[in-house]
Formats: sequence, structure tokens, C-alpha cells
Amino acid sequence: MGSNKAIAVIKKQGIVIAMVIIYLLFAVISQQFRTMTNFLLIIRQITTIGVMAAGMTFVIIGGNFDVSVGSLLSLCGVVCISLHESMGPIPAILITVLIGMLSGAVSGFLVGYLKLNSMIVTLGMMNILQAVALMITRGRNVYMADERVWFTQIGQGSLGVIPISTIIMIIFFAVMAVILFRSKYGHHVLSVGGNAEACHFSGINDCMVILKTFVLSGLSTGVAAIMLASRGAGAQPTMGESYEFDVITAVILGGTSLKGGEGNILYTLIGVGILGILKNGFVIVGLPSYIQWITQCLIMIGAVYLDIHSKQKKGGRS
Amino acid sequence: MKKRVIALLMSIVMAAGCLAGCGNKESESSDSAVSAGEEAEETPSEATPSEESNTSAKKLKIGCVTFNSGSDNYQSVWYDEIISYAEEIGVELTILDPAGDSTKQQNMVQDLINMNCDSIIIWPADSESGVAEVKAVYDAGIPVMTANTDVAEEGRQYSSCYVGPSNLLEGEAAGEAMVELLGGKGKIVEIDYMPGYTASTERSQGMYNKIEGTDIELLDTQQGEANREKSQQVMENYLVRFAKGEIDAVYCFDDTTAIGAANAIEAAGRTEIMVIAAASGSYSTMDYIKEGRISATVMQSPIIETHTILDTAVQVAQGNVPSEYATYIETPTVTVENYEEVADTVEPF
Amino acid sequence: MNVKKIKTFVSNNTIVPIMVIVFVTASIFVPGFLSVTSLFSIFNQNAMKGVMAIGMTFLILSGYFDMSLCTTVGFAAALVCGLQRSMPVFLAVLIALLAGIVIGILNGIMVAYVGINAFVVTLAMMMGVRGIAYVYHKGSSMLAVSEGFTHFGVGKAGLLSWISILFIVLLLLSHFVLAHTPFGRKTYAAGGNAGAAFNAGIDTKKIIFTNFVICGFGAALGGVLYASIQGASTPGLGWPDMHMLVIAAVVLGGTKLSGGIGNVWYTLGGVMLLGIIDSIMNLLNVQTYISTLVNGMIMIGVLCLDKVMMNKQLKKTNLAE
Repeated sequence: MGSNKAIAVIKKQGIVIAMVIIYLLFAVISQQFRTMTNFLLIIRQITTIGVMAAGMTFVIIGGNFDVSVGSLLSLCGVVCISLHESMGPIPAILITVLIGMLSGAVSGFLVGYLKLNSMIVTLGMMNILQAVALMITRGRNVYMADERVWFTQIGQGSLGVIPISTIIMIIFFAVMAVILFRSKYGHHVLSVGGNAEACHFSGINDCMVILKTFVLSGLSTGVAAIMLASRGAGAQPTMGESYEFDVITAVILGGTSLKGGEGNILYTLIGVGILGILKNGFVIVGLPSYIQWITQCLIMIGAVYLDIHSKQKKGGRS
Repeated sequence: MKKRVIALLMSIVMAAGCLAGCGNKESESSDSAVSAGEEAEETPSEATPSEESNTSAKKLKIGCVTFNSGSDNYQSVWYDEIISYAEEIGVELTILDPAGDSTKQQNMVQDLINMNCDSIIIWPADSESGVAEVKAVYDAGIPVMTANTDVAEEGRQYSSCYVGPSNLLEGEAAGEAMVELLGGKGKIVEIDYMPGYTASTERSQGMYNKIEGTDIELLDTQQGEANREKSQQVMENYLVRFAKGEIDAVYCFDDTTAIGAANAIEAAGRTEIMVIAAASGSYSTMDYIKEGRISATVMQSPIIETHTILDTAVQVAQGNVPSEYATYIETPTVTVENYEEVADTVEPF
Repeated sequence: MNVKKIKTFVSNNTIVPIMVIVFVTASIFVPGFLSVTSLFSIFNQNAMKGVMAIGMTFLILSGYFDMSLCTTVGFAAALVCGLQRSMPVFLAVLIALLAGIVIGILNGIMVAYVGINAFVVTLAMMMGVRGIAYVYHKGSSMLAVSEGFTHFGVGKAGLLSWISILFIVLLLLSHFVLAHTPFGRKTYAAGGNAGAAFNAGIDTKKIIFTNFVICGFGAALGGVLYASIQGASTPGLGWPDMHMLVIAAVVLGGTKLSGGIGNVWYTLGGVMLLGIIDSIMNLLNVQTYISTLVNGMIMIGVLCLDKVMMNKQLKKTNLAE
């Protein structure tokens, strides 16, 4: 038992080792990659997917998927900029986050209470949210009239050398980690993801637990949208397209099991990091995008394969 | 029990929403028709005969499939504008948007054929797959024309004509402006659209034509997907990859791409790099030119384009095919230098 | 006619009342819908998706799904178009189908035999196949040069296209396999309760593996058919979410995503329902985003309705919570 646990720990650390190895690989190949400027660029570029992945981790631990986050990102982005222009930054930020949470609540209700399939439900939501984003902007992009306001500092500014958005991301992860590991709610999510029925019978309101996971996902997406919109001082109604792939990939790379019931927010951050390094590295080294896709494919399968092997077989399929 | 009631209610709401959602189009197009009407007066119109013949004949039914009107500014303006212009000239326009999907577009073309349109306008999602689409319309005996992007060579025998910008000429004009600004030498990077999209390949080709024989070296090309944020990221990566002094200019597929690149350049303080946009579909880009944030571009007006397209579609429906296959709309080049003169001639859009 | 029997039938097969309601509503409110041309057009336009959905049905019945369908479609289309320039068409078609089979084999091995989660495997394969497809077509579209090939795509026998006829043949074939062969029974068993099936002596791994191969084959066949009717392959074919639309069609038809329940006739219903909705949107000349909105609402609405029906059914047999 002890040695298996040790192997598991090493395998878990394996993700961190993998990230370091990949980083070093690129650093050796390319001189431009290993500069401080590039490092700072990477940690700024991963913030959008990073924040979204933090929320998505909860959803996946609960045993579900949320593929609507890409469209939600677009919707929150355009809402944020539009409201910033008409109402000011503070109401814009508050309402954007609220919309993210509201969308999450709707998905969460359909999946948590009505027990509908999360993939199809969030696919439907994805369509609806995208349509709403296009409707309210009439297909046009929205831009800030004056970029010299404090709001743009969220996405563009730095505290010393560290980008502000990175700081926000790290704080966000810290808060999420506390929620997952230290709060009663966090324990509930881990339990429900593992065995919802058992939880139901022990008195945990599994429906509400699941609903809240989606609210967290929506909340994260709202925050990410604010950072993204601030960075570009504008938003396109389709800017979040296909983000959901990368977000889910990052969570999986981080070792969160798709069966539900286990996961680690901090490792999601590692997964986000690996993805960010890959994306940046490939462009710096000058590799065409299809090499990136093939590599992403192999890494994902490899990561999960290792993960499978480190677990003890619990009788039947894993 | 409660859950079931809620679920039932939701189903009913969904169904009601579907029916209520239909019929939005008419009210929207009448709003924009008012503002477009004033501009249309000033645009030189070669198609005045169409207005006269319409009053006597039955309302013409024109069908149109677009490319992906929700995906960028230019296309959404294009979409709204052609609808309002159709109202203005008294034509019944059925316009369908496949959101970039060529298989959806093919289905939509078939639906337009079934609706017995008098002529059909196709903005092919893909030049190759568009061939089957124009052929299908041709085989059904309906006049068909291509707009904004032409079909591949094989399809031009079925299409009556092409109306739109010449991406190649735009690329050459922008390329030439770039060569002049660089004084014939330097290193450039390129941010194009997406692999396989003809407009992108042609704009790039135009630029390649112009830098051939000069001392200008193209370092790399990456995709910006006409997305501001993605283009910004691509440019940031370029800035890391090539140190100060190693890039003199960046050639961008369109203004959205160029603005993303410009943002990256300004944030990194590397404003010695010139930004060129092969074509701009947004009037606001003129401001960027004025401020020097973009050094050169070619203005492509969706208003002029859609008006010309629709006028031609009316002519084609009545059997008057243009003598030349391709009608290229006017696309003036704007740089920091000639900004003043061009600003007078370019209509706001 | 036994009213109770009809009631049971309707609540067990929710796709039927939904189709009836949509059909009747459309016939009344949508001009141009209730015409022979229009209806056959809808069937012909959706036959390709139908073919792919049949393959997906097999897989979902056994309890899994395949995200790599979207890029397999594009890859097969590119192969068949590109290869027919240098070899006879039927050979190009064969190779394209083989590619789909190989992808299915890879998926099947990793999921059934190695035990990796299907979502991850097929998502990863989606990216991998996308990359390999790009190595082949380098981002460009390719015209299909063989006239015979393109004639098959646009050709018709009366009002039905050849592709539609192929679809119908495949429907009948797969119905037979699922309902009347041991393989079919084992598929349902593996999907319904893998543990019990295993204990009953069924080689569940082989069943699941085979169904992945069937799904991959279906995807490739879909790609070949799309190439045939479009007369070309485009780099974006299938991307980004064709697999979701196919899965949605299967699930909307009534086949359960958890496995074990459903059939290809449900899938026919699901595919046609989505096709009819698309056509209605076109005929009504609605703005695109209204169409997208409606699609999203329909997906959720049908799931809700299905849940309501199922709960009613379970309540009757005292099995609901």
C-alpha cells in the first residue's frame, strides 16, 4: 500500500517534471524562448485559459463537462466593454461576473436538478450564449473609446515585471484551492463526483453541489472575460470561440480524473502552464500549427496513460 | 413533481421562444434602411435602370448566401447593408448565413433554389466547394453570380459574373505602399487569416509579387484568424522571436489583424515597426492611419460592394449579364502621406 | 386502437411526438415547407450526417462516444479528393475509408484495451488527426477531379439522391445487425451494464473496440460522401463541432448517452428533426443568430421533455426516486 502511494505521488509530481522538461526543451532549442521577456509573456498569455480552467476543474470533479465556456467568454467580453462605455468600470465588472454566474446557474440547474446530460445541455447553452452575444452587438465588435483608463491596466498593466493579470490568476487559483480543499463545499464536490447517490442518501444536497460547480465555472469565465477584454480594450462577439477545448485539455493535463471524484486545482495550473508553454514555444521556434496539434494529442494521451498506470485498479474498468 | 412541472414549463418556453424569435428580420432592416438611404444617394450608381424597371415588373426575388457574417465587423456591416439596400430598391431578398460552414452553405443554396429565386448571389465559403454550388444553381436554370470571393476557375463557366474586390490587386496595392515606405529594403513578418481561404492567399500573393526583386525579406507567416486578440498574441510572439531592429514591418490580412498587431507593438514599445493592412473594411481604420498607428492600407467599402452586387444581381435576374466577367469595386490606397486627399473621397461606412 | 398502447409508445419514443408536432407546426406556419421538393431536399441534405450518426449510434449504444469524428470527416474527404488525381476513384475511396477504420482501431485499443477515458482519447485523436490531415492537404481545398465521383454525389434516382439511398440501405442493415444478431445484442448488453455483461461471459472489450471501428468507418464514409456532393474537400470540413451535432442528433432521437437503450430509427428521427429545424430557419429567412439560438433551445428543450416523459414512465413502474 505504501509503495503504491509513493508511486502515485511521484506520478503526480510527474506532471510538474514534465512541464519543466518541456520548458527546458524549448529553452535549449531557441535563444529567444529562454529570455525573461518571453517568460513574462507566457505567464501573461495563460491567464485567460488559466482562470477558466480553475472553475472548470470543479465541474469535471463533479463528473460533468461545460462546453459553453467559450461562448460565455465572448458574451461576457462584449457585455463588459459595452457596459464600461455606458456605465463605467465598476458596474461593468460586477454585472459581467453576475452574468457568468447566472449562465452557470442555468446550466447547473439543468444538470444538477433535472439530471440532464451535461455535454448536450452545455452544447445547447453554447449555442444560446453565442447567439445572444451576436444579437446584442449586431455582429459588430465593441471597442473602448479611450484606452487610457485604469480598467485596461487589468489586462495590460504590470506590478513591477509581473503582469497584473497573472497576479489575479494566482490569487484566483489560491482562493479556488482553499474552496476545494479546506471548505465543506469542496469536500462535498469531491464526494458527489465520486458517488452522487451515496451522498444524496447521507444528506448532502448533491443537486445544489453540482449547480454550484457550474456557477463557479461561469464565475471564472466572467473574470477571464474581464481580463481579456481589458487587454484588448475591446471585444469581438466570437472571441471566445473554441476556448473550451483548451480549457478542458488543461484540466485533464493537470490530472483531474474524468470519472469525477478527484482532482487538484493546483495541478490544473500546471496543466495550464504546459499548454501555454507549448503554444508559445511552437510559435517562437517557428513550427507550423499542425505539429502543435499532433504534439498536443500525444501529450494528452501520454499524460492520462501515466495517470491510469499510477492508480490501483479498483476492480472493473477504470 | 415540482421538477417535472419546471421541466415542462421550460419546454413550452423554448417552443414559444422559437416561434417568437422568427420575424425579427423585417423590423431590423427597416431601421438601418433610413440611415443607409442618405449615403446611397452619394454613391455613384451605374444601375439606375433597375429602379425604373422594378416599379413596373413584379418584385424580384433575389437569394443570397453569405460567408460568416457574425465573425467580423466587415461582414456584419455587409449583411445589414445588403438587406437595407434591397428594401430601398424594392427587391425581395432572402439572405442566409452558413457561419463559415461549406456544407451548410450548400444546403442553403439548395433551399434558395427550391424557393425559385430570380437570381442567386453566392459568397463562397470555399472557392473549391463553391464550384458545385454554382453548378447546382446553373443546372436549375437560375442565373447565379459570385460576390466578394470568387469560385475556383472550374466554376466560372457557371457563374454569370463576379462582383467584389480584387484581393490580388488589393494585396499588390498594399504591398507596393509597403515597399515604398520601406524604401525597397528591410525585413517583414506576415500575419494572414487562415490556411486555405482564397482572399487571404490572394492578398498574400499580391504582396509577394511586389516584394520580388526588392531587398525585402519575408521572415515568417502565422495565422491571426482576423481575430484581434489572436493577432495580438501572434505579434507578441514575433516580437520575442525577433529582437529590436530585426523587423521593419508587419503585413496583415486585414484591419482587425493590423489593430491587434499595432496593440502588441505599442505595448512593447517597438513602434519603429510599420503596420500594413492589406485591406480594411472598417471606416474607423482611417483614424489609425491618421494617428500613424497603421502605416498603409487599402479601403474596401462594404457599402459600395453590396450596392454594386445587388444592382448586378437585379440586372442578371433580368437577363442582362455584364460584358466583363469580373467587376472589381474601387479600393483606394491610404497612407499617412496621402491621408488628407483620400479622406475627402472615401465615404464613411 | 388501444389508447394506453399509443400513450406508452409515445412516452417511450419521444422523438415521434416531437417530430409530429414540429412537422405539423411547420406545415401550417412555414411557407414552402410542405412541398415534395422541399421535403425530399431535407432528406437528401441530411443523409450524410445520417450515415455518420448510424456509426455513432453503435458506439453510444455500447456506452461510449467519439469526439474525433469531426476531424476524421475532413481527413477522409481530403484523402479521397487528393488521391483520385493519381489513382482510380474506387481505390481512393477505399483508402479514405481505411483511414477511418485505422482511426477507429486506435481509439478502440486505447479505450477498450488500455483503459484510457474515451473523452480524452477521442479529444486527443481529434487534434492528432487534424494535424495529420494538415500534413496531407497543407491547408488547401481540393477539387474532386473524377466526374463519376461527383455525379454520384449530386445524382438522384427520382427524388431521392444516391446518397439518400445509401443511407436507407445502411439504416436497414444496421437495424438488422442491432436487432437480430449476437453482436447487436452484446452491444446493448455492454452498454447497458458492462459489469453484468462481462460476468455473463461477453467479451466487452472486443465489442467496444468493434464499435469504435464502426464509428470511425462511419465518419470516414461521411467524409467521402461530403466530398462527393460538394465536389471538393475543404480544410475546415467537420471543424469545430460536427461530432457534437452528430452526437446531439443521436441523443435527441432517444438513444441514451449512458448506453444500452436506443436504435437507429431514433437516430433517423434525431437527424431529420435537426434537419427540418435548419430548413425551417432558412425558409423563414431568419437571421443566423436566431437559428443558433433556436438550435440551442431545442437541444435543451428536447432533453427536458425526454426527462419528463421518462419520469412519468418510471413513476408508473415505481422506479423513480
